[in-house]
Amino acid sequence: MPQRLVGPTIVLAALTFSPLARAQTAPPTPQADAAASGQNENIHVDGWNRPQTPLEASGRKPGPAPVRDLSGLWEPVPRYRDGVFASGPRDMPSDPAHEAMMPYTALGKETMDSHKAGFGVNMAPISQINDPFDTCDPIGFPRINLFNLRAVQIVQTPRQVLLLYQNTRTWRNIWTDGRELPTVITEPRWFGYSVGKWVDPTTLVVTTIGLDESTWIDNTGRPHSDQLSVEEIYHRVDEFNIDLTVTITDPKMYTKPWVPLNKFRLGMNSPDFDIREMICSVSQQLLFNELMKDVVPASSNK
Amino acid sequence: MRNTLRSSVLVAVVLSALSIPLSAHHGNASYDNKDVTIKGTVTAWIWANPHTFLKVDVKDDNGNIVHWVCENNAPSTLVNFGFTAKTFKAGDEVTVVMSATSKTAPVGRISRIILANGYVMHASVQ
Repeated sequence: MPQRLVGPTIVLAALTFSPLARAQTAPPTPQADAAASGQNENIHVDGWNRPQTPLEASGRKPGPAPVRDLSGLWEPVPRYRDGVFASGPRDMPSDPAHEAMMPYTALGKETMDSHKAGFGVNMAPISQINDPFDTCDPIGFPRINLFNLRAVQIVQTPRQVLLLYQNTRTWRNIWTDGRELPTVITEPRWFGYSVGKWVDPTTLVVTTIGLDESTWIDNTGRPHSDQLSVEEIYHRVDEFNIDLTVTITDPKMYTKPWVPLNKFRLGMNSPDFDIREMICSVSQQLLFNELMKDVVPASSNK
Repeated sequence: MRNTLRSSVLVAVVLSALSIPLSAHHGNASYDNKDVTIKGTVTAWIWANPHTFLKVDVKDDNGNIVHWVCENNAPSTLVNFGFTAKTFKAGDEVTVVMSATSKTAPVGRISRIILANGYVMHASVQ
């Protein structure tokens, strides 16, 4: 080989076979741009595809908790997917050990056993699942907190606290104007009737009743009746953090209250964080049934 | 069907205790608890909610085309791993590693996809 071609040949060979060169042909995303190893990386991006880091993790020191203020853009921390809870909420997952601790009544156990879920102790083949969310019914409350708790924006008005959830692009309103819960529920709701009271300058206690019985409490099929009452405690720990505790009370289904989330941490994101859509599309779910659910015979499953 | 599917699996089935944490509301109960690898040609990349799909045609040992449907995570999760609605197009050559119903139907849940240039795209945790 002529001397003058040796150098360019070496450079060309290096570019051709280097992992970086392979990465350059991958889709133009932050994950691909960062990948010199020849594989994609997990880089959390917002709806505008910009890498995002919770404010505290980005090195900023939180100030004190503001008074009676939960407003902001929040996500589970330390990892943005810590609120997926596919196999049940963090503090009461549906595994044999925790399931043994669930205080079911006889009706509660019977109802739980009738629920064929995608995850948990009642995990069933996809052809047998009877999860109402599998047909894109509204996810309902408290499941919106206990399954795929992703980004949530909290907005406050003088009378309400509004929660704008990424999951199913759903919102809830919590009345903080001093009203009491309705004494008669004429119309059960997917997301119920909620009132909140500030019990101290940084702690909002929310009670929700009047919930539609067709919803599941979590992704594993925990049941509820029309007697369900859910308490949420939002404690603003400091400027950048909220601890969320959820308690389930339903005397028809459970012999005593139980706690699916105990001080679950939400961290504040940048105020320019764009919440991504996370939709359950009925037509696309039907496509799933056509392509997947209906072609897997139940007899083939484990 | 069983033989057809079996022969379409190019790389040996690898026993695996891994299940893929997904945001979907169904799990792996329909799938064998082991990895299956196929190599074929993309016929469609369906960017759908709550599930995305990669449809791949695979030629078996007898020259027959098997139409695989490979389920992937939700778009809102996949974007964090660099997937977009345009990551794949019909005609792309890919290798797909997934949990599958190797006994009965050519469907499965993706663990990772290897592009023709060797670039590996994990569908979830790494």
